[in-house]
Amino acid sequence: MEEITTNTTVDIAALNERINRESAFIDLLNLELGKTIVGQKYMVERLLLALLSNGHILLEGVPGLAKTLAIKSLAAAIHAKFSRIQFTPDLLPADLIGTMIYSQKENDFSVKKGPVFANFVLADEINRAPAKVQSALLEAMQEKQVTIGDKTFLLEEPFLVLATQNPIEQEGTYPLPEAQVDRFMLKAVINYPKKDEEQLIIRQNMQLVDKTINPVVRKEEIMNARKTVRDIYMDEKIERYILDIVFATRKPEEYKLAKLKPLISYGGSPRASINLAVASKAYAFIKRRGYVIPEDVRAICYDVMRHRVGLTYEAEAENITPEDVISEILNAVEVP
Amino acid sequence: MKSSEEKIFVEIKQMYCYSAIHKIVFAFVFLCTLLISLFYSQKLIAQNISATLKADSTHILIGDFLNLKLNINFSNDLIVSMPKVTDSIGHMELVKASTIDTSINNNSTTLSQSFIVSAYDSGNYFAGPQKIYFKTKSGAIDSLITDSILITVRTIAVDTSKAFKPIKPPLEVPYSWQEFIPLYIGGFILVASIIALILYVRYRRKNRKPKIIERPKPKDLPHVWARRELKKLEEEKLWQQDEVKKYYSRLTDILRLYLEYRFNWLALESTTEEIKEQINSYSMNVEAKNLLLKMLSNADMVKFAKIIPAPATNIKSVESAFHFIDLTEQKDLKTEEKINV
Repeated sequence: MEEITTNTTVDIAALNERINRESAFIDLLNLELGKTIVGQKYMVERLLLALLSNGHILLEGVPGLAKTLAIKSLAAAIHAKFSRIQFTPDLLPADLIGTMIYSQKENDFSVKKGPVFANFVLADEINRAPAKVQSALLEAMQEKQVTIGDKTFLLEEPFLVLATQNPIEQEGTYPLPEAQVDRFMLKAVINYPKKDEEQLIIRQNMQLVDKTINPVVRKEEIMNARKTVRDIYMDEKIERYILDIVFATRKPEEYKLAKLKPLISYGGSPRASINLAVASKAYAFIKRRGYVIPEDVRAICYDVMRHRVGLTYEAEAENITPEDVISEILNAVEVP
Repeated sequence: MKSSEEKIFVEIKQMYCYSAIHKIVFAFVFLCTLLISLFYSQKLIAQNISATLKADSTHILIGDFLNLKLNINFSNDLIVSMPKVTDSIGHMELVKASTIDTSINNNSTTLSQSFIVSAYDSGNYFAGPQKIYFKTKSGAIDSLITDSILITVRTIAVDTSKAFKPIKPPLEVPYSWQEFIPLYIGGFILVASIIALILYVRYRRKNRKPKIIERPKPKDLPHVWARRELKKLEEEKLWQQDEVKKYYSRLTDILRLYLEYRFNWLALESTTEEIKEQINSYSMNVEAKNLLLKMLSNADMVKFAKIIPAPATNIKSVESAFHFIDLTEQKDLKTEEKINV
């Protein structure tokens, strides 16, 4: 900004400098992930957002879009413990959180911790397991602790659940209830790669090149970055903008959107407002900015809101998606 | 007492004898009257009614049509009932019957009806006779019978010495445009329905798309309104009272609303980045574009990044806004209006 020259407040400048320093690992991560993932910039960016916002992410997309590979690669690129759970209809909560095992030698029960005790948990095809297993995982996600027998264990930070689900196969699945899906900070919908990207994918798969992902980021760096994200400046105007968006999902008629009222069965919860604010800060961090602008809110609004806006049967009959509703809201709410 | 009883018995006996004689006499007179009336009536019929049944030919080919005509001529004092023909006349099958034609002369009436008959087997057939009932002036009902006509129905001569040939296929009748009228109408309705359906679906989709938010437009021209608002902003002296954020918010709001009124551009609901992406769709020169983007991004820094500009920058910002309006105002204004501006 050329014309604005004087009186710049110190904290923003210092914050910008700090962000530049602490966000360096993002480039390293992107480089490492680029070894296995071609394109899918949107998906990788959302994974980073979840990582920096201390939120969990649900990836939805048809099979073969490298959802699992991306999560595995991200975990491999960070010095952290990673575990993968393939959700199946016969999975039990004990298979996830662990159980008490009787030891004959010690004549006592000992705790056998489950795969949820990791920094990155990949819950593959989360909608394939019954509700009790989903609940066990979602409880761990929210409380960040697990109780086995009479003992409660805190989960190690960073703790991030990256779940995937397939939108096309609905038979034999247990769709996540609205209250549980709300625990995910972001729900990213992954689309097919572009033509030239897919050409590159073919070429990469034909080559016999070592694609081992090396750990390039330490857990501490992630934790420090999370603290910085929380410190990013968000003006009151942006807060109001976020509130306007969330309130427009609850009371659309107050935002000249009365036609949306019969289409929305329930709007975003306060958790939506919190997550929208945190994710906007994380997005500003990725863009190396010490302050949030309306573009940041808009950029992540769909991912934060799409699973938090409940549609009525009328909307479903009209083939209206949550994305359509969010678009209408974003086009109606005035930008500060 | 006895004599009186005998007297009564004799009286009754005499009464019965008298009634028997009366009955015989009455019967004789009745028969005589009937015979006389019948004799005279036959004579009258012969004179006052006649009926003929005529055919236009006595030989027809199997399945051919034959015209028959029934004529009844009678004096006006008679009431004649035409025979009711339903499906056949004699042995000939009825194809069509005309309506009854009535012609009245001075003293007589002629009823005539035409029939088309046919036969579907070879042989000799009688057409008629037809029985006609009528009522005389005296009220007696009588009937009259026409002659019957012998009709010979022939088959087509077949030369058995020649080989048999297969049955000829049905003749194809050329289509006429009238036959296609229902198809044309049906097709038109179908096409119209499809078009209506497509239009309806498009309309619904269009309605689903974000609509332009209608805000009341100022009565003045956009640049007149914008200049007035900028003047007001200057007079409010917001930045001089440490209300820098408010000052830049007002400034950008005026600019965004001016874009909406001037270019029909929903700038108030767009971020700076979106305005940057869309700016090339609107007709303004490069200088105006750069000026606008610079003003908006500078204002964003003040509004969202806690940056406090120098007083000179604040003054220059509003000057830039005036200059942007100068560059983009509507040029097709009348001179008088420009002077007022």
